[in-house]
Amino acid sequence: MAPDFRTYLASSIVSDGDTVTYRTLSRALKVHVNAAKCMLYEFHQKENTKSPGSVYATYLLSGRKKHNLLTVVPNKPQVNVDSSFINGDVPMPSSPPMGPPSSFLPASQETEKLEEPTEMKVKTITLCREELLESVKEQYEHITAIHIYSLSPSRLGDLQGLTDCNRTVFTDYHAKQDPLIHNKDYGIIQNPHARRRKGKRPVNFDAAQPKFEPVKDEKSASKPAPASAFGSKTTTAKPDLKREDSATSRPSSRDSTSTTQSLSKPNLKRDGSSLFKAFAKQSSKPKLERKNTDTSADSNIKMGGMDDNADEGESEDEAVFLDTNTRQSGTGSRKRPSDTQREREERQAKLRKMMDDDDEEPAVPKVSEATDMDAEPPAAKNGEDADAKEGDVEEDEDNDVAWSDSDTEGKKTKKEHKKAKEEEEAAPKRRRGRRKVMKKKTMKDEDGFLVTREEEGWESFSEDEPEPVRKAFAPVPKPAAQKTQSQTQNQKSSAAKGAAAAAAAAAAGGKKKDIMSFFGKR
Amino acid sequence: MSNLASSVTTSTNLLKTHRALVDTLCSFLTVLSHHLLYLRRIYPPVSFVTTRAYNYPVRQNRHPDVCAWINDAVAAVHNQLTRNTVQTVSLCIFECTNHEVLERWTVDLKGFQAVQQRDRDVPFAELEEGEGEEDLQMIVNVTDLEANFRALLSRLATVAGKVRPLPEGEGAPECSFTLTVEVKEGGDKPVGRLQKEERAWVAAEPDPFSPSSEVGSQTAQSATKSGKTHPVRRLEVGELRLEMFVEESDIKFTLPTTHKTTMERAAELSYGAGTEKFDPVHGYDLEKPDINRKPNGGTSTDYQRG
Repeated sequence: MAPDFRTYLASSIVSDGDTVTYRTLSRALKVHVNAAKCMLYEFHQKENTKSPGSVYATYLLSGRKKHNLLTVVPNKPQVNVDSSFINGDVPMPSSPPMGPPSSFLPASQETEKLEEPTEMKVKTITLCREELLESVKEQYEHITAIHIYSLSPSRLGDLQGLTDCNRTVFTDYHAKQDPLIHNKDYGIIQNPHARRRKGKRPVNFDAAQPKFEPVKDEKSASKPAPASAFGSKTTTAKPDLKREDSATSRPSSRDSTSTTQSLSKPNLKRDGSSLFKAFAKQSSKPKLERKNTDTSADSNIKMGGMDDNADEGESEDEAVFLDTNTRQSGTGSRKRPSDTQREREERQAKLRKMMDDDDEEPAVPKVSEATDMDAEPPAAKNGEDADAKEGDVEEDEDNDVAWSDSDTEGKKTKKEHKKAKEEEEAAPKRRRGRRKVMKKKTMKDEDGFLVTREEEGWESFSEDEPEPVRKAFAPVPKPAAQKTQSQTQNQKSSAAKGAAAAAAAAAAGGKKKDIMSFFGKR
Repeated sequence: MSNLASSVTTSTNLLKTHRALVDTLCSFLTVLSHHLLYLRRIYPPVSFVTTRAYNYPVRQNRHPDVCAWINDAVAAVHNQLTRNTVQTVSLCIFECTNHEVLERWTVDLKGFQAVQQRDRDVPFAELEEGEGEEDLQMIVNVTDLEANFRALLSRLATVAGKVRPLPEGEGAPECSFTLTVEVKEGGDKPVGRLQKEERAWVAAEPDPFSPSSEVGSQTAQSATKSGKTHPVRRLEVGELRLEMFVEESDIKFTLPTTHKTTMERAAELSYGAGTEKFDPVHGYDLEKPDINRKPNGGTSTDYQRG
């Protein structure tokens, strides 16, 4: 490998004129990043002795800078703010109001207020050009690490351009090789307990949620029925057909966005929450007749109910309705699946309490058939969870038989109740409300420069389908102020793309989903 | 958001019709102008903000007059493009005392389609279907377009580093910039209009770079012809075809600058291995921290042009 790196660097820097960072070099030659740094150093030295100035380097220094003797003087609560400037940091806008990243937590500050003024240790990392290297080094009291960051054929006018170099690391390498396996080769620090998930990818809840499985009220003989109903869905092979049903039904609820479903249906409202119905916003999706399909009651029902709520909750920019006190509104906030699951669990727990259940297993995979409302925890489709579920489902299946004999009456009434609810909600499908939107405002700041800020604003919307949300969305981010047309130039192209994209999306419609699912995530 | 519907198989609307093509090109020219102003240090770096275009970090000036000027200029170029009169578009950097052009960053559009006014919204002819994989390669989507623009901007940054810095320091003239278009043979020149609205262009001096202007001329004004030309990149994306290159005039080399020659810079090179040892007693001074001090190094102090 040793002689190869010189040819590689010569061809890419000198001939192609690209900028090479130590990261791209390590990925290209499949070496540890520290080895790549050494290679860059050697190449830089050699080329510059051969022909001076032919290769230009940038360096990365870490360590402690000299001027960080910050004294925490008591009775000076604003020390936190000043320290960021003192250390040479520029305070970056961050959403949660935290102290500047380089200082200690405020808690420790408070204890220190009463003590003698103490030092704050600040680790500083600087990316600097080769001509400024010596001057930057002098600013450091103690350098813990110094290495070459990148080599380029000529002086870099804009250091920001280096960000583009590392983009290839993600597109070319991370996408194609499994990072968990290769991280060690490249020297990436990895959590030894990290594991890759088995099972399906969690669904992107921001996308429209097509619909869930038809309800299974009664689990009578119909196990094969579900199998056919969900035949179009593909999941990882499961040994048992029964398990397959429930397992497929569960993941299928997750995969609703990616797979086409012969019954791509809208939501089934579970009656479970009559209370919720009262407050809930009408779902725009047509309801599916539950009568047809029977599958194992548990997961599908729950999933449906949950996803219904999830759908309402998760859809973009819904104002707070339901029990969504935990929800942050705003277009920008996308909750993590784990958060959404937790919320779902809470919701499910509430639902369960409200229902008269025969059996309540609090909050856990054990499904109670009688109450169709019982939700399984929405379940990350983790490997573990899936396994756990499988076990539970099996149990349920066994119980099914027993129950179908004894509890059909109870179920029938519930089923009717549900149907009634369905119908009443079938009519109004519009979603209305006010939602929070991030609007961009352009204004002049004190120096006379144009500054663009994103601010929250409210706008009312009403929709029939999810599609118009997308379309309406794409042109919305156009800044109201037309002062910065240059800004709009950039955004015009992106808004044009967005509009074009939305138009194409509307045109292509469901068909596109097939194609896209084939290609996977782009 | 631009990736909502872009898939490998759909071609982008940005290049389908002539009008869309011209719009794409003009937005690119705007990005290019702003970025070049930063790279050549025409304005102080502090007046630029880092933003993202085509998924690439690019600089944009935030002074209202600069923004307005560039927008107007690009709009005028847009106007000319729709009339099919444009051969090349150039960003010329000139010095203000004698109005001599020092650098010229040119986007050559000779491969650009000339389309009738009435056909402007007609989509370009699609390739025939049924070719299999070749189709996929020919079909342009937004990602391809962005990748091409990114490559061009990245190459631009490299070439800007190679080119000699603009004059700076004592005795150096102020530099400014302008956008020029070179009109096709027999094209309708957009000068000499009487109405105020149409007076967007001014006729320029004869080109100091082209060889034809020097034949037989003995005037002192005509520049010597030994300027340098550096190619930047050729871009071919669907129907959008352009080449970019930069020319430096000889006059530029005569003007003073703080540029260090490569030999000088190489002599100062340290490779990071310091010779001084840290001396705890005399090593650091305890001057009071200045809270208004800007961070050292980095872009805001990168004011020197060389």
